[in-house]
Amino acid sequence: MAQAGPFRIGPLDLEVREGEYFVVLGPSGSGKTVLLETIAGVRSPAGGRLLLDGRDAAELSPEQRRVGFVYQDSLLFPNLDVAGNIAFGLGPVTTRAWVGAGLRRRPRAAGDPRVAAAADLVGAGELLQRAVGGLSGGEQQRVALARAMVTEPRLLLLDEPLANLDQPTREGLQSVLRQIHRRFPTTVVHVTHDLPEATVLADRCAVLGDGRLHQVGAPGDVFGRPADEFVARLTGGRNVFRGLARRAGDHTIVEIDGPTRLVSTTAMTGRVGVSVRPEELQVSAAEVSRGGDRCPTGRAADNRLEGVVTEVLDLGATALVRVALPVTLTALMTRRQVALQSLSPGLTVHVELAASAVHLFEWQGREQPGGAAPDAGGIGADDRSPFGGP
Amino acid sequence: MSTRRRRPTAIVVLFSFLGAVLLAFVLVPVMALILGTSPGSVAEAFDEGVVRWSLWLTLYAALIATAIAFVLGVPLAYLLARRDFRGKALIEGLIDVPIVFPHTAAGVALLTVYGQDGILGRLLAPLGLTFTDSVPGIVVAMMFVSLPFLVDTAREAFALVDPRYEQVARTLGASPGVAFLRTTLPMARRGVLAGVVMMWARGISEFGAVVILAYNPKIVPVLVYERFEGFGLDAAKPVAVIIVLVALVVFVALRAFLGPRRVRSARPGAGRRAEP
Repeated sequence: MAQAGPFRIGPLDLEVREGEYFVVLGPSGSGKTVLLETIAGVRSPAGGRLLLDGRDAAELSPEQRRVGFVYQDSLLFPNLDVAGNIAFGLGPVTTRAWVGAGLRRRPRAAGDPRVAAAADLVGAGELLQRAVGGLSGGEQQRVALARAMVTEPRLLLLDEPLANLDQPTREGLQSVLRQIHRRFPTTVVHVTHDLPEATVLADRCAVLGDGRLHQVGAPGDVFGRPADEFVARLTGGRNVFRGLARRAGDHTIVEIDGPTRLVSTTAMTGRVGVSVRPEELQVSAAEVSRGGDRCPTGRAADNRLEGVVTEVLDLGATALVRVALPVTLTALMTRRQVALQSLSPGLTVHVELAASAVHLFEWQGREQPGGAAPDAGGIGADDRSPFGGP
Repeated sequence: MSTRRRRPTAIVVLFSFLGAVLLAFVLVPVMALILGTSPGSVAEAFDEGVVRWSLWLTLYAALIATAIAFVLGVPLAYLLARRDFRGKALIEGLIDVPIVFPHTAAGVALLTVYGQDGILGRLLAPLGLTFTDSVPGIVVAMMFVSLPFLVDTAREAFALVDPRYEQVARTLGASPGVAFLRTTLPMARRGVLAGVVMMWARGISEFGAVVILAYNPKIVPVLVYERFEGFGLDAAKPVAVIIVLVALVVFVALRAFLGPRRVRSARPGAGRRAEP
């Protein structure tokens, strides 16, 4: 739960366009919940302005803002049944109905056709008579979504709505969310720390960290062209380095740790940050690969480097392969590719990489001897993102 | 897979023994009182108009005290559970002051204010409200000493309800008052009700403060004392048995009504489990 107190975020300057699906991506404790609660009006900003449809929202109470709010933990009212929960926003008059094992309160509006429609929208039509206590996590979130949607909010605020769910349930709810967004003109602001969630759902996304915005843009831009080290690392960039860049013709040459030179299409010079997404690297056993013709773009300026495999981590469908050039690069490959190449520690390999995949950004981080990122050591637990396990 | 219960460890055996001593300490006098009094004498005492009227007065005065404290105390309990403000700890301490007061001292303090020469005594006299030797005096004394039980229990019950329920209700169009009435209050109702019954039961059993402020009309605890002083132990026992039985019935009813769980642990807001 987000707590007030010493925690502060901002200043943030953020515009969400009408009707778009906007995802705020940030690690735990980055202020995402506080941001949503401020938009909903249950928390007041210390300064600045919040405009809803161009109107200053300062004088609007939460009940006047027409926002729907879904928390990570559903927060279904335990004293009401499923229909009663969904009908909550339609009116306060309650009656009693037999639900499950006992007599339970439900708003009279539970018989309203809008309740059934909202339940059907989220695939919870079968649950209407149930008590909320017996619902699974996924069912609870469906009901929470229906409860928020029944009042036809103009803005739907989702606070990590899929975080507590297992993978199949999460995928089911992702398609529910996409469907809601397709069928209703509702603007959605969805906060999450989960990268695939952002790429699957977002029209645009913002990266929030340490209470400030790092980057806003289409998911493809944020993932492929991170604005800074924080974004590069958060979006699963395992190969983040500090380098020295100079222009050479129509491309840039960046030196990482002295001997390692990479060609990039990003036009920058001087001290830079370098980010290479692990799935862009192609690793092949040295004796198998011949010439530079295997590069994805086939351009002469692309990178072809020799190194030694130091570690192969089997993730099930995929595998992480670490190669010392001597700078250590991590490649994400399919398991089949790894098997075909018989990649194993000690093997000399060629690493191939398109110049367009070598992304440069302004380096604002700490000075580090050797240029390697601080956690470029062994393969850790978070190596399972972004493509997950089996 | 089957598991065998582990044998109790030495510490469990020791703690069980210590607990049993304490239970015996409570149970033995109660049983001695009830079993050592002939049912005939209890029935005889119950037949007395004075005793019946006294019993009715006791229950009724405690109920009024609880009702007044409910109206004034439950909103305060909610504020204490939900808001942070300067002096909150002081207020919480003040609410509990009657618990640490000797009740006779509480009675003296009340007499100073509500007596014929006290501020409130003089102020309210024109309205026909006198507090010495009167039902209002009994109510005031009972309320003073037993209100912490209601306020504390209700505060705990409110604190256990996640405040975000009200926030969700607000986004669904409920005003702050409606959000409270439709979410927090029904979710905390077990705890609030437990507080009500505890305060009522505590009011029924009050003696010290009442005897100073309003010896007459006599509530049952005063009656027991009077008969003990005037006629000895055997005269006091039947009346004592009656009030003890009434208290037990109230308490057992409370446990049955609130379910098998501990009264204070009714946590509707904390879990996602349905209430039984």
